[in-house]
Amino acid sequence: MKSLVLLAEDDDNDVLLIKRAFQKSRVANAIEVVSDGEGAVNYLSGEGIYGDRARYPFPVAMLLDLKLPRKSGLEVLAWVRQQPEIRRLPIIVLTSSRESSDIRHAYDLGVNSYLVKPFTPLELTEMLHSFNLYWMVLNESADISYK
Amino acid sequence: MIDPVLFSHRIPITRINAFSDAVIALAYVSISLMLTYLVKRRRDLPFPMLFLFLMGALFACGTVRVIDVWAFWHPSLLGPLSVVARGTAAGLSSLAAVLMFLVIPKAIGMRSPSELDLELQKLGGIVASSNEAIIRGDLNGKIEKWNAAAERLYGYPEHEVIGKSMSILDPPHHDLQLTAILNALKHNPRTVHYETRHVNRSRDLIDVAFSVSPVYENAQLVGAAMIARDNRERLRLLDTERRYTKRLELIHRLDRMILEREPTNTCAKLILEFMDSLGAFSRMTVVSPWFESGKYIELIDYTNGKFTENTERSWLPFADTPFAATFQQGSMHIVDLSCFGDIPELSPHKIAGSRFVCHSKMIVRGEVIGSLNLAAATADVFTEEILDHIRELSVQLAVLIQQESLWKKIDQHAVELEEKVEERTRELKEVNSALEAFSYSVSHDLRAPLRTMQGFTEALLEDYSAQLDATGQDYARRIAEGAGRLDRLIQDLLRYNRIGQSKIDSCAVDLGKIVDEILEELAADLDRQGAKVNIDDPLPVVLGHPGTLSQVFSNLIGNAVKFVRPGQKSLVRVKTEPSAKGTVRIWVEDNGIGIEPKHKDRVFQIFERLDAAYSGTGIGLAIVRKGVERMGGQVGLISQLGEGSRFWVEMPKPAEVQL
Repeated sequence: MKSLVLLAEDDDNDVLLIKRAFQKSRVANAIEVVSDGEGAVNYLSGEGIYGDRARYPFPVAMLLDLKLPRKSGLEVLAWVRQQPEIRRLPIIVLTSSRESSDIRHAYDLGVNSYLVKPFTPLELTEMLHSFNLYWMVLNESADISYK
Repeated sequence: MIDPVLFSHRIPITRINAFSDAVIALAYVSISLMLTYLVKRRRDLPFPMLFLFLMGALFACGTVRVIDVWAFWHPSLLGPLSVVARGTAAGLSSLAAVLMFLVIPKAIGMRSPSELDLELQKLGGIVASSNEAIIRGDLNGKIEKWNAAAERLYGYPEHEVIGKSMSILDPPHHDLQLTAILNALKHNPRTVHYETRHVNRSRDLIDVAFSVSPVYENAQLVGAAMIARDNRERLRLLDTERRYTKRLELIHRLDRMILEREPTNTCAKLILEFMDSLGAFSRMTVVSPWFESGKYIELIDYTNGKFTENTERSWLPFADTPFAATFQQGSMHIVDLSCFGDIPELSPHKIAGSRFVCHSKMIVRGEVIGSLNLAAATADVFTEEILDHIRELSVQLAVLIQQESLWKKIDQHAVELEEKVEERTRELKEVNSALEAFSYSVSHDLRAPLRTMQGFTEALLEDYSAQLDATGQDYARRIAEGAGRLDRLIQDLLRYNRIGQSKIDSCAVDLGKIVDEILEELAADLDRQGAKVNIDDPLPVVLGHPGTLSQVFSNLIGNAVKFVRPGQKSLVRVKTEPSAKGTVRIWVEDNGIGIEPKHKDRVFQIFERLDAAYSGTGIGLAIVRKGVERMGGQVGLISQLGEGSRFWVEMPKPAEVQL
């Protein structure tokens, strides 16, 4: 089974560009997209349709935008870190904000990495290539007992 | 003088002669006997020896005459006796004459009894007419002399007290008994002054001041003279003086209390307590503020030793009283409450048993701010002195009340000011947070569509360039460039805004390190342009904020490298220059296109761009100026068009650390 990256992103355009960059960087991983904070929580906790882990496998890592409808990225992050079973899931913020308050807050809540969306598709491709290499290949993840 | 002895020898002795001799002898002897008696009785007689000799001489002469008479009948028998008698008479007479001669000048100098009498009368007159009681007593205190003033002072006529003991003047259980004073005088005879009380004939106590002095006769202490005077007036003056001193002390104390901002009522109580110590006031009040509406506030009511504070009362209806006309004028009135008849407003006075009220207004700049009111059962309580105290203390009360109202105003202003500051702060915070929300939103939401434009245009160029001709590709590139420029503009604006908003804590920063980091970041650009940057080593340590300093010098060095004529290799120099005390000036110099002096202020304004040929947002130097100013420094420029630019930044130096 291919390892899966969960992308929480509400902007269709960004989703499209990120998916394109994943393809360009020849990343073998599958991507599942949730378009709001609640979707992310539901996916991770296996609520509703996400209970079918064969169809919606538990992700190896999550790319999290901060500005999300219904539940912000920081709220999702805080929620994950409070769940004993899944709190060790690597979460990488991928956002357009360079505000130091956002960065501080995210790290305070226990984010694993903070990336700012680059302006050009080329840079995005390079970034996701590095992301893949680091988090999917080099990084050793902890066991996660998910539902 | 005719010597009787010689005379008898010359005249023939006849019976008649014998008879007259006998008479003379009798006279001589009797004179001498009387002289003897006089000398014996008047022991204080001056010149007693003269008298004795005169007596002896006269007696001898008498004896001679007796012998002469005897010789009339028996002339032969008395020859030797006569010689002895005559010799004695001659001797004694001569001695008496010599003594007389010696004594006469002294006797002439002696005062005659009439003179002495006059003297005595004079002295007696002084004693009699003296305004001070003069009493003489013997050593046992028995009264011997008592003048008219003593009678006036004590009431006893002279004949009643002569021979009585002075102790009749002592009050019962008195610790300054006159007999004791006299006893002390015996042991230590000197004049002593006393102030005490005596009793007069009607058994009233009277204040007296008196002195007791020893009286001597022939150097012998025989008694005492007491001079006494009515002390009541002096004590009364002393009392008045004491009250005025007390008032002065009170005023000083009030002044200190005013400085300490003690409440008015605390101070007013002290004033009323002082007034209470002066006289029989049945009720005292301090009234303020003063309402024209018929009501007023009694700050303090002091009745029967009890304070009541802040009572609202109604004015007495003055309109129908004799005071109606005068009451509006003047500052002090004594009002007879019986003029009001039986009205409910009088009830507090009735309880206190007052009939007369002295009403003293406190006036500040022509405005009545309150009053001090003292009530008494009788009008004679209000003496001139009391009125003076009331007048003076009303002024003091006016100061107190005025002071308190001024303090209140100041406090109120302070509170209002604080509220205003709070409101402004709240508004500022709202504006700030709105601005923060705005810039947050800009950084997220405004940039996202730009990134989409840029991203898809480039994706278009990458993925579908085969389908686009050269013009189509150029258009697509222009879209991407426009989006890119707008994004840089937004980012610069956010940076500028952040520099104005964020808190800047200054610390000692090594400028050398900051500039090294900047050069590392710019390395690629510098290489591409073949630019050369010379840095003074070492650069100084300044007082500033590392991030802000980095932005400032990054912009300045970046500009220096960027603004050169095409094809020219830029040469940049960063150097230090000592400056005014406590600051240091850093220069960033280049050989670029330079700036006309007239633009040297404009370049620091936001969105100011001087040359469209060079890319840029027009925000860089605005960030420099804002950043430097927020760190307490200054920035400036010396330049001529075409001759390169010399930017300077003046920064505070950190305080010297003593090692």
